[in-house]
Amino acid sequence: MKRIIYFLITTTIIFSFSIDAEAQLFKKKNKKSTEAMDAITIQVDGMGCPFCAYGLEKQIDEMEGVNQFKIQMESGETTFTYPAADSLTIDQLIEKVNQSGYTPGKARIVRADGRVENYEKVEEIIPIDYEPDEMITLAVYGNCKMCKARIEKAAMSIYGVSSAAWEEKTGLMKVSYLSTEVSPKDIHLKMTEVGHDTNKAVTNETAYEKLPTCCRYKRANNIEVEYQAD
Amino acid sequence: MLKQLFIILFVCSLCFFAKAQGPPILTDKPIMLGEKRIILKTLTHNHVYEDASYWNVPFMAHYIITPNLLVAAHLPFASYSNNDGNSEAGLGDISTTVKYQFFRRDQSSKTFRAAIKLMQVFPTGISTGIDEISLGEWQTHVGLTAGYEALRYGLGVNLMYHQLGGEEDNFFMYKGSVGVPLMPLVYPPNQINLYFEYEGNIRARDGGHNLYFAQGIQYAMRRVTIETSIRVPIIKNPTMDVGLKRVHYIGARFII
Repeated sequence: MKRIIYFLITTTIIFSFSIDAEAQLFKKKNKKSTEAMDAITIQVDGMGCPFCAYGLEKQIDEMEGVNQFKIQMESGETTFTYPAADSLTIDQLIEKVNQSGYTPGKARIVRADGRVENYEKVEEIIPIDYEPDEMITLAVYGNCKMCKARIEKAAMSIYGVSSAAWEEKTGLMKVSYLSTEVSPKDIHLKMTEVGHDTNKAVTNETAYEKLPTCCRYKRANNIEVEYQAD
Repeated sequence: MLKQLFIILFVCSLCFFAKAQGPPILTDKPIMLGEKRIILKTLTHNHVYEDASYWNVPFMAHYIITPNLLVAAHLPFASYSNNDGNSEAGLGDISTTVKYQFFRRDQSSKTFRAAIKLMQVFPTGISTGIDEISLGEWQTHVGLTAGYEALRYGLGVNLMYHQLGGEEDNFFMYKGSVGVPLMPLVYPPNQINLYFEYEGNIRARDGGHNLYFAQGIQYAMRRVTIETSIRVPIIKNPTMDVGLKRVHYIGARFII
């Protein structure tokens, strides 16, 4: 009898916390705001499990005024809005991600007045100590936000590349680079290394098979291969 | 010994097919949920033997001090009753735990982490002869918990050494879990997971080996999980855990 009472007390305590907290959370998430808001986007690495990602939401949520919080599990892209009057800084945002036990990647704050602030993680990307003198646009096959993260990360890992932006809608990527360090061939072949075909290079079957199911784009069979790995 | 090694490798390899959707029910995870978080848990377990039944109803509070350091305290209620009509109930062995995540490698939608764990059990409880219920003896558990989590699959392994006080045998324990989500992957999580978990004990004195299989089901929401599992022996040393038929688990966890 004692054990049943103890079990009931323990579970009641935990469930009473749970029900109240879920209700509070629901109210908070659905609160409409009329004040000017900054739009925040940050790439967060290490989120392999939705349950664990709650730690991130909780940390971000500690800042009063956070609204429209969303996580794209496939890419790690986390977005929310925050009152412009409180002026969240990139450093505060990065600190919050670190406190949640994840690794911050690229971040972007679009201020309510239209100004844009960007942050790029420098630990994994080779520091840019050069001015790019060339730019190319190449077609890279991919499907989703997870593809975008992989494609851009691969391009940015090439020494001499200073910026890379892939558009999910068009499949086109614009890359700025230093021509004495990088050639277009390097960029195309880097894409194939991570499993993505381009308009001039084709990845091998093994790299393609390694892609997550959602990233397995429909392969074209009419690519005129110009670049091949040595 | 070779057979035991094969079983350990087999259990670990099974884990590669797991999907990471929620915390395993019985296996510990190296991933912590952000600093200054409190997690309240309970995982009642009922050990059914041929001639007796044992209960442990714990109240567990975990506090994450920094993103890689967690401390915990477990306050259990323990009881047993046997077929001869004998029974006893009271406070179980209180324990404290420290877990330190010493390795973290994050990439887009995947992570590998490893942590060391030290658990000290104090002899505050009744004596039941079963370490998982309450021994009434000092116990020290030390070991490693590691996990790889990605959206496609996950791997979780615990390797622990249990040093028990009194006349009890020390043993080495390994655990692994395989989780299968039944609903699409979304955030916030609203998921039902099936868990297939394995636990093995190897007695330090003579290498005596037990292997258990646990089948569990879990409902995971944003900050609450509810779970239940049943564990049965699949390889049984005749001199270890004599007469154990099965263990029932039921629990919940809540993140503050």
